[in-house]
Amino acid sequence: MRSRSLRLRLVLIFGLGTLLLSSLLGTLTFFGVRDVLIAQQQKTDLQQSYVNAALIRNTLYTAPLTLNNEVNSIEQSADSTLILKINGQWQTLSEQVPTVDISSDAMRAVNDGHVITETRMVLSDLDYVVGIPMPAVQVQVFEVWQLDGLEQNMRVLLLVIGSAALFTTVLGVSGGIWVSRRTLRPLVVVSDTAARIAGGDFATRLPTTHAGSEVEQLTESFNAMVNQLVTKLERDARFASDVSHELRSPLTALAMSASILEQHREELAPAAQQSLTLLSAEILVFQGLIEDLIELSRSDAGADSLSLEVIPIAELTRQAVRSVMRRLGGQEPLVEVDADVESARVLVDRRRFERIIANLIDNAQHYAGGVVALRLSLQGNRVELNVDDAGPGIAESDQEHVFERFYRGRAAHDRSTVRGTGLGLALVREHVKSLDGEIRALVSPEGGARFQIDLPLVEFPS
Amino acid sequence: MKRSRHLGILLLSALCLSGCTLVSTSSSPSQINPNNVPFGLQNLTIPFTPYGEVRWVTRDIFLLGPGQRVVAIPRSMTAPPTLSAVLYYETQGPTPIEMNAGITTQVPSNLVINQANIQGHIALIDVSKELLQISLADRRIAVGQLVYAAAAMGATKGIQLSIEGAPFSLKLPTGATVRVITPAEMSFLKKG
Repeated sequence: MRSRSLRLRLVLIFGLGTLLLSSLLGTLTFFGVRDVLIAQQQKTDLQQSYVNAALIRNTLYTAPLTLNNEVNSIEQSADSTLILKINGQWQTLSEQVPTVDISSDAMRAVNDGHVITETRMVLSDLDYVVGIPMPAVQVQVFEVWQLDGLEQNMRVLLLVIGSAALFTTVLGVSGGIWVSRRTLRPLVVVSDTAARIAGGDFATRLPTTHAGSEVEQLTESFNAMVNQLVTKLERDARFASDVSHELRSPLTALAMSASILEQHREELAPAAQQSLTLLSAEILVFQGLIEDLIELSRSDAGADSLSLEVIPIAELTRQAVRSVMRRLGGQEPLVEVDADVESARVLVDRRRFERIIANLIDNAQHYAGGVVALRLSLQGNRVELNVDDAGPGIAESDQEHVFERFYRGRAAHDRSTVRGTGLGLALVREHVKSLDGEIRALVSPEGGARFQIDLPLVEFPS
Repeated sequence: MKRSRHLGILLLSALCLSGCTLVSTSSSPSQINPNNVPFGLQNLTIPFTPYGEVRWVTRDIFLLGPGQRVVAIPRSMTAPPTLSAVLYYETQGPTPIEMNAGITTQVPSNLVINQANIQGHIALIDVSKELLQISLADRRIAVGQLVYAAAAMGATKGIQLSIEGAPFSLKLPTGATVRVITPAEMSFLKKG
């Protein structure tokens, strides 16, 4: 998600940057070209107006009666409209009122003897007006040039520049997409690798690439960090394993001594008997802890090999429950199996599966009044095993943490007389993971805790 | 906040660009430096000419108003005014604005004044054949317009017309045929 938003931001930056740049360049180009075109057009028109005014002056001097012919001829050749003010009277060949095309300011300025130019919008026409007073013949010449053609050219120019800006923006966005893909590719690889390592695949490393010195440095640092972490984890696991093994022999000797003392319990004083009871219980807990630690260490180190076989899950569950209850004692909990699960088979390590069942039942007996029922059902291509206990349930805040090592929830604290190792549920999770399954702690419909295990089916029930 | 403001300015600029005219109009006329005006257009005299200037005077020509009555309408013409110039403007007829106001003429627009001068208060005028191509009634009115125009220029005793050199006589409504047509004989145009 973060990677995607980063990519989006990169694309947006490229797109907006290109849009701004192309708009700026387009605007500058447009205004530059526009000014040049207008200046050229107006300069040409002004020069032509001077020539036309001179022609009119000469005509008035030499053959005044041919003035109309001359004006007509000029208008046809120059594609403009001539308006004359002769001796104070307006004269034009066109039928329109002459003063419509000329502003009062322009008339006033020409009356004052100034040559003027003016660009103005008259109705829907854009006009360029040149006003020339000629005192020698007492005539004011106003020539009106149409700029509509120029306006049309401007619109075409604007359209072309706008299209170019749009095209450039699209190119910029495409470039942004390409660059973001290339830039973020190493990040995606790092993210995927980190996810695999977090999932327990400690052999995964970032591939060495030649994507640039920064990426190479990141790859080296990342791999070095993972190596360090793995080394530390292995050292910790080895230490725990070594300690457990070292403690195992003296503990066995202690247990044997306690066992011998148990055989002579009647010969001991009452206080010594009480101490012996406490000692035996503590040795039992300690032995369990050492066993669990060794098992976890082996699991962490990947030394505990799997002995997988395809087994009907329903039968396996019943056998495991029976076996566990024989060892733990007490009433055997109900195993409810949906009809379609009876022939479903899973790929499991029998010993680990029994250990899972044993730990869950043991946990329920210690902290939750025992197991109410074990229920097997099908969920798509997976089989779901729900182990419900008779306890008060697990608080929602504890549900995420009950599988952590040495985590002791509220129930364990409440039952301070009962002591566990704190590793039972952690081991359950490790074993479930090793069987490609998932486990979660929930609240059962009856109100107690529910441990839900999903295992993949290898053979669907026929 | 700042981003949206920038976006707003950008949109506003785009709107301005797309809307108004692309060639900007001027709020007031710009004056050209007289030194940059060529051909001596602003000089008080016309360069390289003996008289150096053209002056204007106003003279009346006679067109037809409501009820075919002659009305005097002023025309500016270069000084000194001549009979030829007045008769030329007579052939030009009313301006578009005057036509809109109901002013007409019976003088054919393609009539050419070949020659015109005044001798002893009588105008001797030679015109083209177009005068003969209109009806007698219209011809009387057209000739009347010429008589009044010539009278205003000093030909108070009338005009003597010729058509491309051939003498011309006009048959009056009374049945009489006259060679010199006087303003009195054309007075019906003033009465209507």
